[in-house]
Amino acid sequence: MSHKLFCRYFSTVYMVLIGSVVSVFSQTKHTVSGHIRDAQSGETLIGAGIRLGTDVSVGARANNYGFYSLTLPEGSHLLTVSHVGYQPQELAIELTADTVVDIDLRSGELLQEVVISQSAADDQVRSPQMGLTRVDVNEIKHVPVLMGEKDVLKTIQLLPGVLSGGEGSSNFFVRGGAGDQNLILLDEAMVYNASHLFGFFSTFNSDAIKDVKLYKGGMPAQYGGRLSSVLDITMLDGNKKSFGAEGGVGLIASRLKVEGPIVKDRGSFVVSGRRTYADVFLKLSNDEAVSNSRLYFYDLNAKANYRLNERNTLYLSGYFGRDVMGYSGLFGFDWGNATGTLRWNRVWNSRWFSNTTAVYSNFNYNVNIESDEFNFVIASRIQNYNLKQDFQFFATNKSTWRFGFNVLQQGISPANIDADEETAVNSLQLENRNGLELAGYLSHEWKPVQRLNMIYGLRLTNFMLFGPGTFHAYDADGDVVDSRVYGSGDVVQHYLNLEPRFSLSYELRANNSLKLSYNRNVQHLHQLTNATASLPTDTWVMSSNNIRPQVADQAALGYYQNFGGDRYAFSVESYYKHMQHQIDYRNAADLQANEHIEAELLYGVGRAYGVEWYLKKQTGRLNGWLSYTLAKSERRFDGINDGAWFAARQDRTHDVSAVGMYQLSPRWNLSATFVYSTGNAVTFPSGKYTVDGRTLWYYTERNGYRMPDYHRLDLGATWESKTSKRFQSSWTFGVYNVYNRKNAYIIDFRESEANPNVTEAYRIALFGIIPSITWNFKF
Amino acid sequence: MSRTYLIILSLSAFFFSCEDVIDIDLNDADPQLVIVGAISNRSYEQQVTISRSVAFDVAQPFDPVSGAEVTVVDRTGRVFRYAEQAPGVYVCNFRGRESERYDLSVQVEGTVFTATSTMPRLVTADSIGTAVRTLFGEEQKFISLRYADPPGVPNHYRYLWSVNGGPLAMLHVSQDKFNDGKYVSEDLADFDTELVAGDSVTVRMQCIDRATYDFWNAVQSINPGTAAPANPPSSYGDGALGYFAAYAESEMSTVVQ
Repeated sequence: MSHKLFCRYFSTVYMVLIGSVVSVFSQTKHTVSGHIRDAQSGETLIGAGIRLGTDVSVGARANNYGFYSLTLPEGSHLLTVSHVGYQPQELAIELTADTVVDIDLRSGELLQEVVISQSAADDQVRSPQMGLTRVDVNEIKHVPVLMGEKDVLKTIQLLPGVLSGGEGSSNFFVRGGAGDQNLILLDEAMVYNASHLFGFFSTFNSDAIKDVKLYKGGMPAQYGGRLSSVLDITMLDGNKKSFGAEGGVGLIASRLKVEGPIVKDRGSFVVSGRRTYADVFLKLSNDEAVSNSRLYFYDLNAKANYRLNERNTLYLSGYFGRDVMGYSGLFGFDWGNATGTLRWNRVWNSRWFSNTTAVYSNFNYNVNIESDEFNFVIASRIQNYNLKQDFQFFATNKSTWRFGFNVLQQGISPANIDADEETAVNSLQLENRNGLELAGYLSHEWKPVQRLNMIYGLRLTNFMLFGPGTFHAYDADGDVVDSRVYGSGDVVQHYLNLEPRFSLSYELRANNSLKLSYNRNVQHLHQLTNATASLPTDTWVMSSNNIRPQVADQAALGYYQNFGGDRYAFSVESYYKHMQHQIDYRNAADLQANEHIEAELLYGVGRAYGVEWYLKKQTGRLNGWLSYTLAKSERRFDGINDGAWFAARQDRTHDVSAVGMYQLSPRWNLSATFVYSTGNAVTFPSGKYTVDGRTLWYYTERNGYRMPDYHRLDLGATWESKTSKRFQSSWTFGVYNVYNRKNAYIIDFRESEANPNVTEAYRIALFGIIPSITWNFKF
Repeated sequence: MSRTYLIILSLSAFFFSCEDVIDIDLNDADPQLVIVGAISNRSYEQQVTISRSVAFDVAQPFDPVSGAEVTVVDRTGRVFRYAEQAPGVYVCNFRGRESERYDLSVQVEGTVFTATSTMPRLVTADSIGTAVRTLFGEEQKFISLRYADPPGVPNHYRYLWSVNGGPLAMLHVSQDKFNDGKYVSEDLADFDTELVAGDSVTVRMQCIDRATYDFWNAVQSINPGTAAPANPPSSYGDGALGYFAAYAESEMSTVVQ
């Protein structure tokens, strides 16, 4: 056995090393390759599967650009092509040479139920990738959400291992990690702040999104830079066949999307916009100050692609979003992201695929304070330029290599106060910080023997913090012990890290498998906040002479099973994660416009572990899922809690989500969501004392108390108009928090108004029962 | 920070939020010693209070500690011995001086606690008046204090007021991080007190040292959105809560216009 295994291993390595030479000599294998697309729109289908009809274990999946490559013995084959929500298609080919076959799949929407093909459904069993959840954008359409604004970031919070950032929040925590430990990518551009209106809405307009992938563990080596998760969002390319428009009018915002071919079947564009209109109501006010106030946000997604020839395709995509609020004569506050991505796909031959990406991403905010006394502007910015080169080599149908590098230049302008001479505030400019991250990776997806699949890889990251500037060193009390001035281009600090990644699956039987994964992730960008809500004004810092890169090691073990003819998918995953160089803050830390902000930080370790159960019904008139997470997340810092382990704020022991969607009739779709979770770990007082006649609270233990349990039921219904070729419309009705549960958003303490000597606890609940209605159209 | 938080709170109020009093079962921590000492340049009687923390649901939050030995020594070696005037309240008759350093020593049941404070130079306001701001259609009156911040040195201030002869209440502390050396206009307001024309307001402006500022700043920066509220830094180390402040203060009065 071991001899046989060794031979296979050796022969595979041999094939890989001199891959193409082998195929020339043997003359027995050829490669079928091409793109898999939607028949109606020409959109490439990410992750679509192509498998040998006779042996489903032989197959390939389309990559992020819809490209597939499958190497098979010479002869005739029957292939099955499938994708979630599409009708499977059979394809007979006579393979006598390398062949290019582009495949168009027909959407299954014409059928009464969502079609989930067999091979797509059993991907979860066979794929070596662990900790990955794909969100079907069509699914999001029916999940009821706050104010009817369908939201990717709120839908992923219903998945096991993903916790909501708070009531109505689009922030999320993955496997006990912090909010800034999620890498959020939109068409490969890093999105620094993924929320609008202090977190109540995400920056992702669902109309513009094609594919959403969330990695909670076992991240492939091409991703790096954050500890907890990777959320990889791909925007739609735009309809290559015909022009169309769709949109909607909701309680909070209106949306419009326009798409169409630039040149039919060669290129297309899509532009999608969304804007809120709370400020329209402000205009109705008689008070001039109120009617001149501003309160809105908008998103604009635009993308164009053009196929130069059979081998080369260019993509250009951009995102611009902004929140604006202001009260005339007092203050103005605006913030937002802008990203731009230019990509060049090249198919070198039937087995080599490459992608070159140039990215720009920027987040900034401005605060204007204007009054009789004051007139000044506070500005802050973080931005990056990122160049990525990726190669994919489909060596055999059992082995795919992926490698590449990226150069990430990141700059932070922490705070810049620009004040008039007469104003009672000094102008202030904190020094900019510049970092350069060079990363290279190699990853191999490999099926060495029957039933065993694996992806393993390595990522090497070299981070450098550059001058110019003055860099301070601090002692344990946060006092400056050394200050050095660096010139432009001088390396202040340098970190080299190796990040191994590994994920494997072993098929026990045809419909169940065991998976195992390990990953090390390193993070060089840290968001500093000592408030419970994440704010646009939170300060970003890079790893430095004081701040060491955060490092996480995660091991996970899982069991996966499909049953009922792949109608049901079940999985249970358990994980243990250890985190180094975690950041907390000194008491009453000053994190705003502080030159010595690094003196306010404390460093410690974290550990998180848990078990996640997930049961999904994928087909039928009734579909949906149940998810249950049992987890713990703890931190340990010298100087907090006497150096003992304490629960992280987002440590929620139990977290349950149930999502159900029911196709009542061809026109009516009903849906319901129920969530339950243990309350956050919080710090409450355990006594009180008097200072100068004021009652102060006496705290003894960090996060030693719990918020009350959180639970909520949401309902939704969608009514679709009669489908006509020219115009379609639908109404979506929703009710958030149906039984009007007063979930505590904040619990605080105060002196009773009736008797100041008596202290009382009070809670603030944010959203009671809220109905919503949205009208959608498409033509 | 707290300002942004207020914005969020008002925004959430905009979104149908509601508030109610609830019962929460809190632990009873072991009583902790609390020492609060102050030396003023204006007063001829200086005071130190010593008490213990009490359980959260106790109606009387001041649990006095009697029988302590309290002394203050200045830089010249003069020793001031305090006498217990009322349970937990220790006093001594002398007047504080600017730039003088004071060492406080408190002995309670055999344990000695010490703290040091140097009185900053006095900075006085040169004008006081009423100002008006209109927010969401509602007029809000507040007191405006103007003073020249001394350039080149860190300054910390604490403001208290008494409205219509009521008890002296602390408003807030501030520092000159963003306005060092500027002619500063300080707005004084209190959420619980609505000023109306004719109110007589007496303001005390105290120039405090860094440690006292840190203490009160920690208290005032805890709001319902603080992720990890904690005890303000103590001047006495781990064994006791509280602070010891030598401050230079001035008093001004005005009638609300």
